[in-house]
Amino acid sequence: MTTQLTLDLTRPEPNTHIIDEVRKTTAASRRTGRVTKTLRRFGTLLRSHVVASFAALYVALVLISALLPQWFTRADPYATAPAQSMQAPSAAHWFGTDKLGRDVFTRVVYGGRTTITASLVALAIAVIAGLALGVIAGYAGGVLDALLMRFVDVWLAIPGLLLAITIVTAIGFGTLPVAIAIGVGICPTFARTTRSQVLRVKQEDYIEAARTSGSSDASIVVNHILPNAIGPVAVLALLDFGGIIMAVATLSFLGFGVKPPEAEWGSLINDGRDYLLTAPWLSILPGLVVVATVLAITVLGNAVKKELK
Amino acid sequence: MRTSKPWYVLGRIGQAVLVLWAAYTVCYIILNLLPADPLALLLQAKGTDIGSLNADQIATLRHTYGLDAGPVQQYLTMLLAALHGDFGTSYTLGQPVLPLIASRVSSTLAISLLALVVAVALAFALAFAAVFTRSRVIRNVLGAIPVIGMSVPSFWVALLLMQVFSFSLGWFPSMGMQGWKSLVLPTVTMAIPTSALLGQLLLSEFDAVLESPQAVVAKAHGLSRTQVILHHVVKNASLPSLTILGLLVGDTFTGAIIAETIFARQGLGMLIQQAVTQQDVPVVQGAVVLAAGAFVLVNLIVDLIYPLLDPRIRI
Repeated sequence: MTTQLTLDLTRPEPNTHIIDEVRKTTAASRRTGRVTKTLRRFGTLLRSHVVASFAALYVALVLISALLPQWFTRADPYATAPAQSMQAPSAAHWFGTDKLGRDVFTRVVYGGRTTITASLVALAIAVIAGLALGVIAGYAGGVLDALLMRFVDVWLAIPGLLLAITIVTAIGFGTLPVAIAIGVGICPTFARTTRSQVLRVKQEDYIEAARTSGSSDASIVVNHILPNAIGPVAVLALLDFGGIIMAVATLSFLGFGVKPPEAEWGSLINDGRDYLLTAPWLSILPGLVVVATVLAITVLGNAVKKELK
Repeated sequence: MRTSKPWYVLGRIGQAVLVLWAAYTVCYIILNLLPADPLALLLQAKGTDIGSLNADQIATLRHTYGLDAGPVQQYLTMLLAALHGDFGTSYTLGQPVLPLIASRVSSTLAISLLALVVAVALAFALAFAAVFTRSRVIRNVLGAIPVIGMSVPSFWVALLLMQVFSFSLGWFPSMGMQGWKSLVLPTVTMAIPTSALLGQLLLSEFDAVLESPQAVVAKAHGLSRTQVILHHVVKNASLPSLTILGLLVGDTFTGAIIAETIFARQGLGMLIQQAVTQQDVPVVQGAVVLAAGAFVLVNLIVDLIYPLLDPRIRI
């Protein structure tokens, strides 16, 4: 060993500085190569889904406007100006003004905050409860599975929106009750999808391997079942989100949601109902925003579903 | 493992009855065991505030309405009454629920059936057009129609129809139930989501069957595309849509609520909307049980006749 060491030492000292430099630049170029590759792949993805890309952009805008409505409009959604009541759409008021002179575009943006938040709450309830039910039923199997699934069958026998209306009758009106009711109403589909995924994943060899190596049920579910079962559930969540927005708007339109003067998409459309003859924009323009949002989410969801297949 | 046919049918009917009973129970639990006090709701619907009564009066009222019994006993009493067709009395209208629903159901049934016919016709027209067209652009446009149809809130479509065909053109009345003209706009409103759902299913089924071996063989035998589609594709591609019939019945109930509320039709949908607004619990319960019953019955019928229509499915 020592002789070798001395031999090494007698060698002319290599210029480590240059080697380091070369190593660094190759690493950097490899990294930029990876970045450009990812970018290129992203570019092809965008090009092959032009419509879906625009849809994604629009959904992102709607989500940001729900979080930060003040970025999109300077006006106050509750500020009344009787002198400017019932104006047609113009540069100053993109969607016109209502009976009390409030700017309708501002109310649509702030209404979006209510609708989107309620829809996200409903979706969260449906996904979390659906995942829990589906995992328990699918993983436990046997009697518990049979019982839970019969329960889900009953749940599905009552049409989702009617079940939501029943729950609202019992717990009262408002944004949160509507969100809870819709979440509970659509939960069974999530439970079913999750269960079928769990049954598929449960067959895999790695579950057997994890069990043999002594993992607990809880750790198998968290580390192996959930990550592998969640894909289709996520796609379902995205695809259902549009329907949830529509359900929230429908219940508000029927008068079970927010109380005036708060703005919400469905109740805004309802507010304009009495002025269809004189000021059709009051109902039609907010409705177009709802249509565009639901359509964009559906297009995006279909593209994601296709891409994952 | 094959069980005999009568036993299968009996078992299937038993299962349907069980689901209906369970739906009634779930509905009862939601409406009666949640925080709101049923007596307070009842009195509120009659225009009395429960706070204005003294304890004795409240106790007497509780006894008259059978609300002083334990929850299990109340449930059993109500279930027994429901089995005899007594779903209680409406808080606000003072009428028994079943005759009330029965008196409203016919006009709703009329627009629902009409809407279903229109929806089926539209969906088939769409699917045929998509199969027969040679232009890729037209095909893509036709494929996008159901997606758009499902993304439009029907309450907004109803307002749009009202604005265009009642107020601008004056062709159809915007409200009321007089004459056939009043049926048109509610029917179209209800048909759009249904036809979108059905159209999407038919589109994909037509494509799938056209690529199936039997269609290829039929083509190889020298049949024209039209003959293949008419004699081989239509029947096979339409069968799966029977399985979503139950789902469509459910959608019909919600569609009726929207269409009747907007076009001011005194039907079941409007009854439900008013019952919810006034927290009229017995009416809501009756309507939900009716909807669940319709869903269960339609699914039962579809399950029983499906093997007769499709010999590949055996029971």
